[in-house]
Amino acid sequence: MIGCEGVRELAQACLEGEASAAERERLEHHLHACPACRQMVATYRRLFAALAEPAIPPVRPRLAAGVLARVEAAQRRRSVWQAVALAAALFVVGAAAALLTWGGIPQELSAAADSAPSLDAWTAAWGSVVGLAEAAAAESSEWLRVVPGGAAMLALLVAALAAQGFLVYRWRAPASLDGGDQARVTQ
Amino acid sequence: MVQRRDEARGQDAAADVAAALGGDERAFARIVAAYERAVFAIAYRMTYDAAAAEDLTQEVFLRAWRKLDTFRPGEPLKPWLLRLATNVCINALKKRRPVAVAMVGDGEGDAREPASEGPDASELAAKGETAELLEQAIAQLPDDYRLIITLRHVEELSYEEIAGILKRPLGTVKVQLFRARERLRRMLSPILGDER
Repeated sequence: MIGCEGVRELAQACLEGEASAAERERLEHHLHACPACRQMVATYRRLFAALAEPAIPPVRPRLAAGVLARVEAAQRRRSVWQAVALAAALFVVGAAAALLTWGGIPQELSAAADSAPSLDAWTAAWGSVVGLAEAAAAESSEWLRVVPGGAAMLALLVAALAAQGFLVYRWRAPASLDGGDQARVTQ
Repeated sequence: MVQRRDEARGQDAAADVAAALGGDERAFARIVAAYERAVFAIAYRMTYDAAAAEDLTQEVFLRAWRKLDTFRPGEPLKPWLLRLATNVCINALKKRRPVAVAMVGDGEGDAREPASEGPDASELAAKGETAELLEQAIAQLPDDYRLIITLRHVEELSYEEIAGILKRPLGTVKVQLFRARERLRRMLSPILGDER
């Protein structure tokens, strides 16, 4: 047996098909003897029917076009950021090369770098850089001691990585709804 | 029947997601077309403003495009999208309503309640049809209840899916849904035929 207080919960469960056969039987038994609860369950039934037919306005046909316009705008912004990232990376690499060639010159390369860079000098310099890189792989602290500009180069590379990280984060960060630069298409 | 249709749609959606991840905007357009109604319904029920709901719907799909790589293939797309929609709508409501409307407890501590008692049902009955009256009554519910009623009765999600979207225990979802419907029944009892 259930009392009137238990009817509301059981009625909702029955209308959703969540009640067991035994629960449905208990409810029926109670409703048979209680006109007030019978009326309440009828109200629930009408409420469920109404909930299944909501008065939500239809979606406007151009909404999808608006979404795609915003996606394309986001794609364009992403392309711009990619170009900026590429330019930044090229700049850092160029700066590092310039520093290596004309700035913190490794003592072993000074003879080759004293004169205006010729093809032979560049070849010699490159060979030395490769050698130094191999040495660095073996013992990075030793490399820092041998190459005077090494610390500066490392700082530049760290800065470049940080910049890349920021740019990647910027691509991923969702645009605010209130962002003024969004190509919002409303009908 | 509904489940089979959802499964078929889910397989199509998985293929479209894979294509969209490769940059295929047409595939993404198909996803938008398939789910815009569901997302719009959430946005509309949270704002009751069609223009704002359209803006929010666009925002949801824009975020979906950006976050597609976080979607796990094999999972249904609809709950994933509706979770995004829920988050976007709740955040938008917070921004637009920095000072919450006066709320009082419902006596059981798990939801907010508008200070207003809501529309007088007999007054509402004079204004129009049941569906319109129902929407006006739903608009008077706390945000949580509006959302949960929509996820269950418009989107036809299971309790488990709703719990996953809202990140709440299953029991809490069931209790909130029960209370939301009970409030609606009381608000609408004059037109639904029960004065209790």
